[in-house]
Formats: sequence, C-alpha cells, structure tokens
Amino acid sequence: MNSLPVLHSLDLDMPIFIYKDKKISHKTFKQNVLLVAENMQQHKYAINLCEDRYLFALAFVANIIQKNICLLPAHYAENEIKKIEDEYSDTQRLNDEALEKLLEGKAARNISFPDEININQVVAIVFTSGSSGKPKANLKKWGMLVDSAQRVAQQLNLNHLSQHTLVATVPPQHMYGFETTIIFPLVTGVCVWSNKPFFPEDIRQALSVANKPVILVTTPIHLRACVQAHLEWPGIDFVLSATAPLSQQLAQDVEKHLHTSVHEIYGCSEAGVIATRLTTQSPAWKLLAGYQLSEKLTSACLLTPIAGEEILLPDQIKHIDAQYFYLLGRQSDLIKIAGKRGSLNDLRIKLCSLEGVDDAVFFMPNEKPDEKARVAAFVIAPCLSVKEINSFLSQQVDHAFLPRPLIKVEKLPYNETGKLPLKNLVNLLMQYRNNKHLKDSA
Amino acid sequence: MSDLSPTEREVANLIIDSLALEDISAADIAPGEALFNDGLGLDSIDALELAMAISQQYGFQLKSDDPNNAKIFSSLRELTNHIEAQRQN
Repeated sequence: MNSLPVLHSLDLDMPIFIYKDKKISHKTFKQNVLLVAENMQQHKYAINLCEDRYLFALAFVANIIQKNICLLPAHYAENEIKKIEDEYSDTQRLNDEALEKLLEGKAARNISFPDEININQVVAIVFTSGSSGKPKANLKKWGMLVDSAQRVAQQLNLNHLSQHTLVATVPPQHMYGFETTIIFPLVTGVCVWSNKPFFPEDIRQALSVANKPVILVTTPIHLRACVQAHLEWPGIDFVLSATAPLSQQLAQDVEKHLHTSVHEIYGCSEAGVIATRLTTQSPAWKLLAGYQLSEKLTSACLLTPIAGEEILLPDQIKHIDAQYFYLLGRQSDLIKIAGKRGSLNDLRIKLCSLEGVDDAVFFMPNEKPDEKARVAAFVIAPCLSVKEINSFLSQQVDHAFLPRPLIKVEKLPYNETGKLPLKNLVNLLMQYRNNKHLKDSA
Repeated sequence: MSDLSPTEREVANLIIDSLALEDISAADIAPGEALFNDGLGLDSIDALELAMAISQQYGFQLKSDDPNNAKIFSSLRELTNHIEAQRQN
C-alpha cells in the first residue's frame, strides 16, 4: 500500500459539505478542487487561512494535487503568520475571499483528479504555539491522516451508510478541527457543515437545520456555554469534545440538557486522535484499534501502525490492558488552555525578563478542568503597573495564557524548602479575593 | 478614574467578574476605550465567557451572524448600548 484515495466515497452525488445552505456533492467538490488547483498561483507552501471548511478543503486538496504543502497556523494573528512566512520561503496566503475569487475562474482543462495520493507525501504542517515562542511544526503525511481518520470513524461507528452531518465549533487549522472537519469528510463519508457556529444560539440553529443524524464537534468551553444557555436543543446523535479535559459533571449536564451522549477525545497535535471514551460511563480511555502505548517514567510513548516512529506524549498513563488505559495527568508544569499547550515555568521566565520584575510565579488556581481555566500570576514589581506588565506579556505570549488575575505582591509564599506549593499560592489568592471583597463592599 | 453611567458600571462589573479581571476595578475602564488590546477576537474564550454572562444576566443570546459584533465588543459604551437596546426589545 503506497497510496490511498483522496475521496473515499464511490457515490459522486452524495453531499460532502453544506456550504451557504446548499449541498455540495462529491462531483462538484472534485470539479471545484481542479478549478482552484489550475487557477491558483503555484507556490511551494500555502498558508491556509480559510475559516469556511468547504473553502479550506478546496484549498487543501488543490494544493495536494499540485504537490504543495498547506501550512496551518495556530491562530490567525498577523505576527504568528509572519513568523511562519519568515521561516518558509515561497509561500502564499489563501483565505475565504481568495478562494471565492478563484471559484469564479474558468473550469479546469489541463489537470485531472488523481485516484490516489502517495502515503508519504507531506500534505500539511500543523503549527502549535511552541514553548520557545517560535511556532512548532508538526508534519502531516497523507497516509497518517487517512489511517488515523479511518480508525476514529471505526471506533465511533461512522461510515458512508450512516450519512451523518457534522457541525463543528473548532477551527479547521487546529489538529482536532482539521482531522474531524476536513479529513473526515474526505475519508469517512460524513457531510460537514461549512460554517463555524460560535455562540450557543448559533450552534443550536446550525444543528436544527443540518440533516439528521447530526454530530456536534466542540470543546468543553462551548459545551458549558450551551448547557448554561437553557435553549431547546434539537436531536443530536452524539457530541465529540476535545482540546481540554471534560469533567464528569459537565459531561452529565450535556447529556441531560442536550439529550445526547458525549465522546471525549484524547489526542495531540503530534499524533491527532489517540483514544476516546464516553466520559459519563468510564474514566478509562479506549485506544484506537492498532495503536500501542508504552509507559515511560515521565510520559507515554505512542506507536501507530503507519507513523513508523514512536511519538512522545506529554502525559503519563497507566495501562488497564492493551486497549484501555487511564490518563494520570500532565507533567505539572505543562498547561493546556483552549487547545494550546504552554509551560508555567516558561511564562515565568518570560515575565522575569521584563526590567523591573523582581520575581514572579504562574499557576493554575482552578482545579475543576472545564471551569474558567486561566492561569493566575503573582508578581513582585514595585515600580511597574499591572497594565504595563500585562501589555508586555501580551506581546510575548499567546493571549490564552495571559494571567487572570495578575496580582502585584510584596513577597511570594515560598515554603521552608524554597518551593512555591500550589496550596500556598491558592491560599494567597483567596486572601486577596477576600480582602478585595471587603474593600468593594465597604 | 472615569465617569460611568449606572448601566456602564453594571456591565463593567459583569466583564470583570466573568473574565476574572480581578486586578482592575470598574472605575479603571474608560467607556470609549478598546476593551482588549487587539479588540476582542470572536475566536477567543473571552467572547464566550462574556456571552454566557450576558445571557444569564440580561436574558438574551448573542449571535455571531450579527454584523455588529465587532462594534458591540469594541468598547464598554458600545456593549452597554447593545445590551440596553436588546433589553427594550
């Protein structure tokens, strides 16, 4: 097996995307991929900034056909994109407007749609916010993407016959959104809603209009907003949740209020989806069929049938048997907010590099995973204002990691061994909150 | 220090509470100034947190197909105006 098909459905009339309320058949999709492939400028790399999933997929497959590579930035911020352009020469940017314009071009004459793509062709580079401030590149080969999507589909019982429509709140540039809303429709026969609903009412509307059975692909943050919105939810076949841990309580609330079940996904940008579980039923994760995990001292190693080399994961695991395992938690310094990974110590080093900062500490005050998961910080900086410190940090770190709150203190609660235990930090935060409450109500 | 109307003060406190901005007080927010450094990207968790708090306190749902979203989130004054307009509907 050296190559795998681009489109796995044999029925060309089947819809693959719902774009602007219209069904796009596999046949139309193929024609438009060729149109884009022939009319777009040819550059080795295309930074795929399309927010619409259908337009993203057209740009993605058109570049595969032309043997170019799509670059998927961790976010749309201009300085993030510039960093990628500095690193990779011969790039172009493709966004929704560019694709809409290309679609107005003449039908392709000179190229044809390939039956299969070599499994070793690098088709995308997914960037994650690297801890050093430089985006970290994760190379994606066609074979890995197809193989993983097929195993996930098998585990979730998705196939061409089930005719699911998938509505997602996550961007297609993020590994989770890329796999579920771009690779899934190509490989598993699900039809994807091309818009990205954001607020609970948007999500409810999209789910109501989409053809049943419908799947919601989202995150704990969106799920919490949906539960709290007290809306009338239409029938949802099931929900997929990833990017941050989902608590038992929230999973139960979703099942109760949205009348559906929640499959939680464990994965990472390096490997994509690794395991799934029904959170309300078991704390154990079910590894994708054919995958192997090995326990190492500080973290786990993943071996997939197609990757060829072991992938080091940032988590510790405990085996139940070859197929099931428990996640023991992240190495404590590592944090994950809104699908972005970071290191508390790294944040501290960055903040301490600011002139006027004598000492600082970052920590996660909230133990409940899907509550407001933000880092908090204490800082000793007698001559700087909170505003000055925040404005410095906002230029240095991903905004998801900006501390809430950032509190200036005179000293940090070191213990006798010179460490800063989380308990001491949380106590100090509570003290601060109580004092503030007293002051505010005075 | 800035002069806020009673509703602006109420919305400012809602923003501070829902986004855990405990290090500032309502009086620190100038009503016409941008709320966030680069404007509030609707991708951000802040927008969802704020939308949740608004729907709980004022009983209406924000929608992203509202073309005024960028304006609504641009400053405390705009957000307060929007909330007042929605309340009257």
